[in-house]
Amino acid sequence: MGPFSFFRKEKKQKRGEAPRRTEQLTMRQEQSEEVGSGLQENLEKFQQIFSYPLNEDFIVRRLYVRSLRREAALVFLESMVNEDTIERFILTPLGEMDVTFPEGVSCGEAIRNLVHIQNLSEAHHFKDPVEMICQGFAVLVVDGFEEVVMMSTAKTPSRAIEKPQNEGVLKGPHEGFTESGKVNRSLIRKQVRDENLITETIRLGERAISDVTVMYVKNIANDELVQQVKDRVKQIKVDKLQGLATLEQHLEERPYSLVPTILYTERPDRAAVYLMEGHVVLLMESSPAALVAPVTFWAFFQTAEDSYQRWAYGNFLRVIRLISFFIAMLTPSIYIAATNYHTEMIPTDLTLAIAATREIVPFPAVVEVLIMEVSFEILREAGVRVPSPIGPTIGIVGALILGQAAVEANIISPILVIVVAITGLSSFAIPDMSFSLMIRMTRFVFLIAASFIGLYGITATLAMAIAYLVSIKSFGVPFLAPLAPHYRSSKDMIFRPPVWKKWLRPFYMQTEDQVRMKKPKGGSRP
Amino acid sequence: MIKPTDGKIGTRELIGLAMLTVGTKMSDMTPNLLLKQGMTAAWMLPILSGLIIVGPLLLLIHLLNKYELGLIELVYKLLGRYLGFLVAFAIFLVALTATVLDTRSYVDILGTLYFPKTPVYVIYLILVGAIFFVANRGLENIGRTAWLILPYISIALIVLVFLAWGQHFEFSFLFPLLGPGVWDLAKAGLLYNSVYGDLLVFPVFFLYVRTGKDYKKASLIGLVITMVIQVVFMMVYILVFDYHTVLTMVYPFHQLTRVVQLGRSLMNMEAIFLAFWVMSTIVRYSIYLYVTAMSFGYLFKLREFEPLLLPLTALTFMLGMIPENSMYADVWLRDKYLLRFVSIFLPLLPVLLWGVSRFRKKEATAS
Repeated sequence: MGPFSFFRKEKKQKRGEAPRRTEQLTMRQEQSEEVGSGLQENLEKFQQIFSYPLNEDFIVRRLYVRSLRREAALVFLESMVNEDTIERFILTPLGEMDVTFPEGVSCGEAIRNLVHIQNLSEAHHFKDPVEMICQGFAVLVVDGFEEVVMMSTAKTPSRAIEKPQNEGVLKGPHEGFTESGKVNRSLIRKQVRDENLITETIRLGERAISDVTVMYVKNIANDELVQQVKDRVKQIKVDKLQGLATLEQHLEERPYSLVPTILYTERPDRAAVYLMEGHVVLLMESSPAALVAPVTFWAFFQTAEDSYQRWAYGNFLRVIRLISFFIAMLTPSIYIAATNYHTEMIPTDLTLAIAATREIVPFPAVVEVLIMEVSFEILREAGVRVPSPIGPTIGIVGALILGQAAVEANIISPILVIVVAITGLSSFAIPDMSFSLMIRMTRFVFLIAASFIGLYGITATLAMAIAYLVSIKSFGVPFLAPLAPHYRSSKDMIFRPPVWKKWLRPFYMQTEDQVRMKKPKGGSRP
Repeated sequence: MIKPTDGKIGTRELIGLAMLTVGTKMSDMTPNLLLKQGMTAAWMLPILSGLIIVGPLLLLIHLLNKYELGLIELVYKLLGRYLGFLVAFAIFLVALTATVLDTRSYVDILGTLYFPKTPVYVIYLILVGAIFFVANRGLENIGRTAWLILPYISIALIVLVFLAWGQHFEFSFLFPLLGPGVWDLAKAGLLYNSVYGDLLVFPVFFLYVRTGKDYKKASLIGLVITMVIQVVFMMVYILVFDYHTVLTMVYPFHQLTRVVQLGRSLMNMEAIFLAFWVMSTIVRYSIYLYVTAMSFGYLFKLREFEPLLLPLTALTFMLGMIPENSMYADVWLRDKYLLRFVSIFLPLLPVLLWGVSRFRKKEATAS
């Protein structure tokens, strides 16, 4: 439980004492009650649950079912349903069609033959219909039957499929996930047209329903892994789960760690690739992304583009990214180490040049770097938050103040502008948002180590960082697999082999089908 | 769940560990000892010592495989409670003193060459801190870290050799080829087999290696690789400096990194090699520390030994601060006592264990 267990316990107790809890309990009791046979009585129950006259969204439409010769009522939430569907496929047939049913036909049976609704089911308790109404279903209550009929009429607003905002590519599909769960599922299924692609839903949320969709390919993904992910999702106890980004934080094994262990991607094609490698993909309503678990270091390092570009080009991009990875993490600290502790390392002319520009600067180099780094981080954060009409100002302010004025005012030396600029630029070349933040933060750790004891400090920190990276796991998969520890795989790590050589699924996933295709001639030796 | 990692290491990790522990010895004061004895033929000594150590190593692995026990447990089983305790205690002491003296020696290298103004205890604290952090992640992760950094260390070493070659190799420095003569060489090879002593202590974690076969394979490959590294670097030292000059140097490896240059703009590259060297040092001593803790745990039959890492780290630091300077620690303590003792004790241990095992077997069949 850790050091915070004491507080947690207290919190729980407090919540238990709150009067709201008892209110909720009576509501729960009401919902578990059975549906009666009287129309009025049932309707009153629904109206009570949805606080009828107060809640203006809740609609009760009375009607007469001609075929059954009975009074009925349709209840739904106005804002969640497609009115056209209700009008054309429910109200019209129920009111106009006249079919004779045999004696003793059940309500559901009769309605199923009358309305033109795809998804239709019966319920005998209030709990299900209440939940379904919240999801955009319409519920038909017919007089004299001890059951109600739920019909899917949902229509929620969502934007059109657009380009992914943060994971753009030059070559390859430009579709990104949207806020609609259904659209997202179809985007994935469009890529993985496999009958074994399973979609399961786990219902969370103690007050408001939050559905988590778990997707995996049945005979590829390891069953125990799927079970583990599902169990982990089920363990989450919240009143409402806001979205995927929150879900990610609930699922993580190390919430305080700097290292992300779940991939958050906006691209359906990436999700599809991971599905085919045996990973599990999680989706949620109103979240324009998918979570992929488990993932390794390489998932954060690679982009979709690497695989779409030809072998040589893709690998070139990766080399560039690797370089920017190290530059973004280490440049400021190496600058400090070199200028403060290892001056002999720099060519003499350059040393003199640096010394000459630094002569008029009143601060130690570390302070200079910190000033610049912090300003740059502020610039970055401001750039994200600034209202778009005044966006260009940020560029001007940043370039002028940070670049020119600070140098002219002798607050920082010109060479430092180069250091910070290349560092900042490199950190933009890191594709994943979490990973980029991780590097931006570790940069400061290295900076402190370097200012304390030069390269020795940097290397000691690096050694510890590597040992730490090696030791963490994402759902049981070592983070740096298949490199350390070694597993058989297609060797798609820093470099990738040509596509025809990727005939193995990564073995650390313990997939049920470990081979993608027949081993090609000259294929990589596992 | 995905097959839970069993906390064991495989061939790759073990090779990595062997290379980082034994292979990097050419970067401390070991070459000086070898050169003193072997002179122009000092580069042959690693080969001789390696050949000498192969027998005991294979014997030991054979025994460990047969009994399926770790080194300390095997010692207890074969030698009984009292003698076993003594021998096991000796192993623990060897591990501890090696950790203490070698870390201290490395701290002195750092202090003398790179941070002359920094107090020794600051450098030492940073080193033991990093070592503790890495060791605390467990054997599996030390091994993986070793395997992960291995390619980079290798590249750095290869680059260094080529740069040294570009500098100047005087091949006549290698002659007379046999140095002090065959007899003296053989004696020195026997005397300084402790270079490979680590390989004979590593079986303390024999049970944490996936299979006995893996262990054997990794040990032999590791032995060959480290032999090659040592030979190459001894040769490079002789070729670049001549053996007389090396004897007057304290740290030939660091001298070498200072001498090499790449054109006019990169005249001083020692800081770059320092980075790789520190990295391998940390991993090397984290496994030393881990082995020390483990042998202590097995020695007193403790169920868990990982909580011992912190006290042992503190102990290492305190003991390591005792010697006044590195000359005392290195030349006096390490050379005169530790290496001499280890060179005799460790290779004879497998022979002793094997003898007892044979004797017991005979006794068992007789009765």
